[in-house]
Amino acid sequence: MPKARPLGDNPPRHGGVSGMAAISVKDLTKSYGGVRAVDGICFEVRPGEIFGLLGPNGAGKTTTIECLEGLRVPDGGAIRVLGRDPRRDRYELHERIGVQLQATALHDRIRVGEALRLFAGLYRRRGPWGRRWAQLLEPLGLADKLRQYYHSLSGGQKQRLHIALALVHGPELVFLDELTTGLDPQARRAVWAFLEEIRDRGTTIFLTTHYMEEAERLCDRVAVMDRGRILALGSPAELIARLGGESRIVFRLLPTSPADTDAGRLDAKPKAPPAGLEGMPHVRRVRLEEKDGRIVIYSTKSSATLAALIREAEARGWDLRDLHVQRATLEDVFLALTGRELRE
Amino acid sequence: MRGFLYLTWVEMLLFLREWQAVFFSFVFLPMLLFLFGAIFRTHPGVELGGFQQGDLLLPIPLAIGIASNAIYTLSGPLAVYRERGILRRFQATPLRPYAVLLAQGVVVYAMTMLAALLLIGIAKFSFGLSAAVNPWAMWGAFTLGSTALLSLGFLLGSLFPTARVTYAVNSTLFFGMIFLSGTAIPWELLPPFMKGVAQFVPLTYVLDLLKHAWLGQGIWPLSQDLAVLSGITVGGTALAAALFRWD
Repeated sequence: MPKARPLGDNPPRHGGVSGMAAISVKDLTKSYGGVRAVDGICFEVRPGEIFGLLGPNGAGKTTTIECLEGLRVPDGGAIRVLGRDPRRDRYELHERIGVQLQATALHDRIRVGEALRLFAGLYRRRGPWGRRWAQLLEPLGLADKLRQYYHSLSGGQKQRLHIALALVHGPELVFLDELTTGLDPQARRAVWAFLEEIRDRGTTIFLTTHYMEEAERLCDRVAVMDRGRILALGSPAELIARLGGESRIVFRLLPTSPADTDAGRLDAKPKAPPAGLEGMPHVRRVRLEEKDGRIVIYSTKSSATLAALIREAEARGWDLRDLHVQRATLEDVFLALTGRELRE
Repeated sequence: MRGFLYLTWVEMLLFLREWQAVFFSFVFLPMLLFLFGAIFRTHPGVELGGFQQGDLLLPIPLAIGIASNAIYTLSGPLAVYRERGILRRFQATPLRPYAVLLAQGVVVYAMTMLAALLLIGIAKFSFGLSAAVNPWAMWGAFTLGSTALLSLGFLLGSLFPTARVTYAVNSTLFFGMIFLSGTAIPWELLPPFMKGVAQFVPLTYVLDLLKHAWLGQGIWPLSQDLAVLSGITVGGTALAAALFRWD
């Protein structure tokens, strides 16, 4: 096994780690027809953590996860999953991992209970729920669906069934590709809580997502991926702290005189944030959100910045609208790293 | 092995829930028996060599049933599973290609066997049967014929990315086989050239074996039939497992 490079700077969240990574990826590349979908990425996943690959659609997340699962052949690089080569040792590895694919289906006329029995029967190992499917389905909100045909389930129910099928045999490591796409917020939170419980029992979870909130709330560590590369890696708190501004002060500025805007219309959006904001105390960056004309100030000490902003507004006669303070998020991290928003 | 057994169980359920395949095996094949009975109607008093009309008719729908189940009922669903990403999901489990193929094969074989028993019952009741059949020889002929055509079904079910391509190829193959093998058109009526072509059609050997077995003539003397069908079974299955595509 190649000596893995240390990538994060935090000690493992769960103690008793033997030093062997659950997953280690070195210089992984994969191209499709000349386009580099994955462009030389390196990372390690520690046993017992929830590791998230966060990025927009087309960032290379699915290609990466499918290389790890042994479903795709990488062009280059070294991958170890549970100490094994995902291609060479794939049958052995598939016994030990659980997989939820992004685009998949089951037979229309298979019942939920039959699907669980089938998938449980494909593995030698047994999950902690054995054959008591209700224990697996309850947290996913599917307990009353055991006799229903697959084709009669809603999109969200199918999605949750695929999560259940990934967990049915109690795998050591679970791969979840866009796990909560198509779920309503309530179901999404229930799935997160369930996965945390699975993680606390010792299962390692590797997931991809383009939901900033999912990465932030669920993941112990996150790799931010864009255009085939990993731009940053760390716990959500670390990544946000690395921005240098821990909170964002958001407001809209109404023009006070027609001269402030080109056309003189009061609903016109400003072209740039007013000068002088950068110079206020504890301000790291100032940005104008083009979509809705909101001005965002990233500040390391929001109370002091806020006080200064209000004094400035008083002095210059600004009308601050919708003024509020938010915690910076991974969305801001992505924006700072790529100059683009996560959700296009 | 475990996975294979579970998959076989599920495929059996799915087969019974799909009315098309059930209809074909248990309704359409008996209808074919009656159709051939009407086409090759014999008048009372015609010398049939000690056999009754049912004895002469029966091998035809049997061969067509084996061929259609092996070619359509086996490869079609596999292509649909592939197109919908079901096989891709299986690829991420410890299941191996041959387990996926054989689970289908076992279900199709069992259902064809049931359909064959039904056909025998109907033939006896409607057309009369008097051949002194060795049941083991008949079972052997049925099984070897099935495995040979199932292995062609495995190949068809393994190779093509979409259901459309699969159905185009398997329809061509199926109709080619039943018309070129002396199944739909009796062998005796084929011109010499077509008889030559029939030598290259696997179904020819299946029908030959079934006829001899049913008429009590034994299958061991038919060493060419046995060799060809065994070769197709082994070669086709191995090739299909090697070339099997999950997506």
